Amino acid sequence: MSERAIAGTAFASRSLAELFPRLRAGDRSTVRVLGEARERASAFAQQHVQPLALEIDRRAGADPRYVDWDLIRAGCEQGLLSLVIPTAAGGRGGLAREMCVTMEELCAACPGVGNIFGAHGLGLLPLLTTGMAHWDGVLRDVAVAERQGRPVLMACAVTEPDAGTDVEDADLMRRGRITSRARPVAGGWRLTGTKRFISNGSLAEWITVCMPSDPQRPAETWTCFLVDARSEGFSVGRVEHKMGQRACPAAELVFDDVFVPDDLVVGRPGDGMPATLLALAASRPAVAAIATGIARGAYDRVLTWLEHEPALIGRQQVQLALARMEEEIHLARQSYFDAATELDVMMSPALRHPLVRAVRLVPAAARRAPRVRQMITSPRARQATVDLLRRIMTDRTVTRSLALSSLAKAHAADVAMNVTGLALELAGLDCGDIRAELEKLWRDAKLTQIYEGTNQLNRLTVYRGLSRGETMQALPTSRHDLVGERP
Amino acid sequence: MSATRTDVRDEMVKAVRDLTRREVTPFAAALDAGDSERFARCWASARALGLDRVLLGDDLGGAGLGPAELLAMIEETAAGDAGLAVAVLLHNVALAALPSQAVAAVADGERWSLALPPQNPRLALDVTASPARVCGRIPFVPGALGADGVVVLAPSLGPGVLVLRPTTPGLTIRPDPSQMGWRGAPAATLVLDGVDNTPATLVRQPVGPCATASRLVRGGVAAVARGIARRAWELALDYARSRHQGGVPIIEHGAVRDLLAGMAAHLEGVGPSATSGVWPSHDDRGALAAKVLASDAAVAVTTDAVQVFGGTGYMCETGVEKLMRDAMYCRLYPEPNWLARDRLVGCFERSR
Repeated sequence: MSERAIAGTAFASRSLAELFPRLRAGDRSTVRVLGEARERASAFAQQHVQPLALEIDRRAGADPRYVDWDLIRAGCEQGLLSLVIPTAAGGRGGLAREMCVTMEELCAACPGVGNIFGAHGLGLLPLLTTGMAHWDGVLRDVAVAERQGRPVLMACAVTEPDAGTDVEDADLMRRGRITSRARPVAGGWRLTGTKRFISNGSLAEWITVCMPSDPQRPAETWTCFLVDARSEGFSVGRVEHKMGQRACPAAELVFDDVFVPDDLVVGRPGDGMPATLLALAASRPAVAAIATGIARGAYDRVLTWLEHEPALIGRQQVQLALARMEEEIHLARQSYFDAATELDVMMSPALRHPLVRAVRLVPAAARRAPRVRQMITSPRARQATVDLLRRIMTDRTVTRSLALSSLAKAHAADVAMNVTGLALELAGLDCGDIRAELEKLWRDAKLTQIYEGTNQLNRLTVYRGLSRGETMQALPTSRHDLVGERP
Repeated sequence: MSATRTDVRDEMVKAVRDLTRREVTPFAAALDAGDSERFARCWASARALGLDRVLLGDDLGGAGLGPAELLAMIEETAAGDAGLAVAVLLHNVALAALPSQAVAAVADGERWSLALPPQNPRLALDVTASPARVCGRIPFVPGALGADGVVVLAPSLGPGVLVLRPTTPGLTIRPDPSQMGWRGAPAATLVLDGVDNTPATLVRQPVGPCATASRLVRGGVAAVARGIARRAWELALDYARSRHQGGVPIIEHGAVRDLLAGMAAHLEGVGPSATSGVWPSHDDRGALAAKVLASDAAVAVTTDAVQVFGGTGYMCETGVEKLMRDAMYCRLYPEPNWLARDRLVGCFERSR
């Protein structure tokens, strides 16, 4: 497979401007940055990922705990783990568009492998949107370890056995069955509960996990914590046997009275729901890009195969199907690009804020000093972060961004299913080696309709945010009553 | 249809339904994992019910039933495991495609499969001139792996069928390396490299039985698709009633109701169940249309069933994702649906 030439008309051989026509009118630095990101991701995908995709899928199908660490280490060389970590924290400072372009390239080769890096990005998202408290802690550690060739992976744990959709919507959460619980104790918190279907859960060294401190008021007390996977009481339960995206294991995580110190609370206690919404606004364009990548991978493969089947490609039914696939992929790509652009425009002022720039002037070692760290993680600093966020964005702008992201996610996921199904149907069962690849992409595609909120939930968010013009409480409140704060 | 025949059909359908619930459905995951021992036990149970000779007459040890009865039983079996159902279907059609004397040579307990002509014209079987030997490659023959023989419909060789056994000189059976669906009927590619063109291998047979065999396969795939969709519907409905989100069973959420309604409409839309004795595939048009409609419906229903289950449905343990994989193969076999639609129009053109 790796040796097969990509057809001249396949997406892989098209320029960035052909994929994103509106970029021609954009600024040069964005074009350069995105072009470099795409080139880097494409080279990695074609050289390292694609040749191994089927074998990894087979091995992980037989043993769900199988992980190709060599491939993840190769990803480190491309900076895939620090892609969206701010430069102030030692990362590459990429934003949503860069992440999306990268994900499309990776997932055209293997969505499971792409999802390892995507789920890692999801794990660190809450650390980016809730202030700088963890930039010189975990984020810098991830970036430094990556440069040394040692992958430090992250994961985000939200879903529970009895609460899937419930935990991604405040209204449903109030009526749902949330069984996890964060209990305030001296110097920190004790976490108890089980999280399920956590991508990278069995690989991550650090996990951002959300739990309520008051089960009677879960939405109001939903709090995000940063958990060290070496913590006493933490364990990995079952690793799931999945239909697809097998390269990225999904695990059950068990928290049995796990202690988390106060300075590893992400944001303010009780701000977990706004943090979740902001994280979803940021992660759903990437999922849309994953889905677009899957669709495009199927399209490129079947097109390449059809070029050697003149009796088939000469038929109008086949040509119409290819045109339909092209059309759907194009629209999916533009929708994720719109959502990512909206997000970048919304978030950029926060990253360019004088306060953030000022922090960058302080040497990293000094920022890690206990007294400075205490200051950065203090309630006052957390409040300052909330105030800053509220100055540069509003509940409405975040709601709109979330809705656009949800639109892109739901649309692209459906496109992935349609296009992979069409590709399989065009090729049939007599198509030789590519059949296994097309079948894998079709299996992989289904997950994109489910994770990061089912497509149904995403579309309800589109209705609320765009059709109804509702403004969700998507940012932490400015005058916070510190729900669940120190007893 | 006489009342007696209806009674026989109903009785057999009920017996197959009981067998499926008892011995197939609980072990669908094992069959999907390629557990040959479990397959052998299921096959033995199917044989005990006479499922291996449904279409054959009394003189050949069969039940003497017709296609409608066979497809009714295939649908019931597919509700338990599509792979097993396909194996039963192809075995029955293979024997029905053979002349009586050739069937008599099939030992009791043997399992056979059937290979249709390759869809790709580049792969058509060919006969070398002297000595007369058959060459070619037939990809993806479900159930061929582990079968005692394969009947090959090969119109390019003239009216007749090729009768191959694993020991036939010149035949290589290559396991399919990545079979996604119908894994209970392990598929293989047959490579014919100079198979002797003798009366023992190339059995003359009028065009009629071969054409009937093709129709039966498509009608059978439609029945398999219907069985898969029925099972997916049942699982999704049960889950929607028992799973709570937002404090209520998810069946009370409009989004889930909409999915379930779509599934129900698809099931109704494909027409009466094969178990009702209606066989829509008496001719090529009916068989092709039934196959296209039922397989598209099965893919839609199973995909939505996984969606109703959410993340749980994506995990192998629930068995819902397996239905989705099985359904997709109904869309691709014996030809992909876009080609089946093309052939459907061809039928109308030929009948002008």
